[in-house]
Amino acid sequence: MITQHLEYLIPETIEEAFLAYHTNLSNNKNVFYYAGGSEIQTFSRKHKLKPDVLIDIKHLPELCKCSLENKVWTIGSCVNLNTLLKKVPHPCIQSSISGIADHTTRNHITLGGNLCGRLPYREAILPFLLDDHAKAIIYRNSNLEKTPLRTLFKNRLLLNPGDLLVGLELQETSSTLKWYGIRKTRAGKVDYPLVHVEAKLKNETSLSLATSGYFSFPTMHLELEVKKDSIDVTIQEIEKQLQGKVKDDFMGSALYRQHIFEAIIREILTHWEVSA
Amino acid sequence: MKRYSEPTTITLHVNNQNFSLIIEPQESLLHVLRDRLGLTGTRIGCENGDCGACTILLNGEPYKACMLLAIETQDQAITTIEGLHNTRIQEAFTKYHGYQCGFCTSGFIMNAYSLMTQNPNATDDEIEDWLQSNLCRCTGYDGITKAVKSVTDISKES
Repeated sequence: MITQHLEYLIPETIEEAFLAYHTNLSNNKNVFYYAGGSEIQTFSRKHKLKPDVLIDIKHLPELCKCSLENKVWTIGSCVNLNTLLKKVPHPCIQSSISGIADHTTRNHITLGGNLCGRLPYREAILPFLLDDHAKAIIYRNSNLEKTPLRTLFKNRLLLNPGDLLVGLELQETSSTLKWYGIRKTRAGKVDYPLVHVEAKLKNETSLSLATSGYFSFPTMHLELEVKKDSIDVTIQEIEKQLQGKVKDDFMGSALYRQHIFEAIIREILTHWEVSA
Repeated sequence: MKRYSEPTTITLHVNNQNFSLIIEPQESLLHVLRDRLGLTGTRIGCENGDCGACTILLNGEPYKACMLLAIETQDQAITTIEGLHNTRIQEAFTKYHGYQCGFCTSGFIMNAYSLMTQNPNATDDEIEDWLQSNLCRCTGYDGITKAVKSVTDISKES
C-alpha cells in the first residue's frame, strides 16, 4: 500500500529506464526500479520507504529472458520465482528458490528483486554463488557489462545508484556434480530461513557451500577439502573458514543457529556418504 | 516512455468486461476493485501480502491484489471471485465445509481454482504448497484441504 502521490514511468528501453533514474535522482526524487513490487509495497505501508517515482522495468525484453544457449542459462532480473522454478531444472535453483515466501507471492517476487532488495536473506543468489562461472549482466554508465558474480557480490550486490541488474548467467549443471540443499525455519514452511545451506560436491573430496540466514550479512561461499575419515574434522574445518558473527535474533540465538548449521552439515556429509 | 503522474484514465479487463476508470498511479488494485468497481468479494486483510484474502487471478495466475498497483494491470485479464460461477471448486467448498466465518474463502477459492485449472492432477505436496499462500484464522484448513483434494480426486479418476 503506497499512500503518497507518485509518478509512474514505463520506459521502452533499458537506456530510457537508466536515463529516467538518473534524471529523477538528480532532481532529489526518491526513485526506484519497479518490477514485482512486493518489497516496495510492504515497506511503503510501514513508512520505511517513500517512493516519489517508480520506473516499471518488467516489460523490458532483456530483463524477461529465460533461456538456455550453449549450456548457459541467461535469466533476466524480472523473471519471477515461479517462472524460474518452471523453466530452469537446475537442482540448486529448485532447492534454493522453492522455499522463498509462499507460492502466490513467488508470482510477485522477481530474481532481481530478491537479490537487490532490503531483506538480508537473498536466497536466490545461492545457486549463482556456487557456480564458478556465474556472471551478472549490469547496465551502468550507459554500457552493458558482464561481470563474474563472485567479484560483484560481497554480502550484497555491489551496485551504484541507478545501475540496472539486467540478468544473471548460470552454467547448466553437469552430471558429475552433486547438489544438496537444506533449509530450516523456526516454525512453518513459509518463513525466513533460520539457516539455509546449499552444497555442491565437485568430486569425491571437494565441497562448496553457500549459506543464507546463518550470518547477519546475507550469504557467503567457501570451498574446502572433505576429510573422508571424519565428519567432525570437516565440520571443524568449515567453522574455521567461516568468518563473521553468527546471526542472533528473535528467530534464533547464535548458539541455536550454530547447532542447526552443524546438524545440516552432518546431514549433507552423511547423505553423500563421505565419512568412513 | 509512458508517464503517469496525474489522475489518468485507464481500462481494466475484469471478469471479461472492460472498465474505464480515472485512477491515481499509487492506487492499489485491491482498493480499485472494491471501491470503484464494487467487487467486494476480494477481501482487505493484512494489506501486506501475508494473508492471501485479496487473491485474484491475473492472466490465470494467482496474485495478491494488495501488492499490485492498478496501473500495472492494464491490458491484462483480471478475475475476481465474482467472475467464477458454479465452478467445481466452489461446489466442493460448500460440500466439504471449506469455510467457517467465510472471510478468507474467496482468496482460498481463487488460489485453488487457479491450481485446478493449471494442474487438475495436483499432488498432495503441490496442494499444500499452493494453499500455504492463504491464511484461515478460524483454522478451518481441514475442510479447505478436503474440498480441494475432492476436485483433484475426481480429475484423477476421470
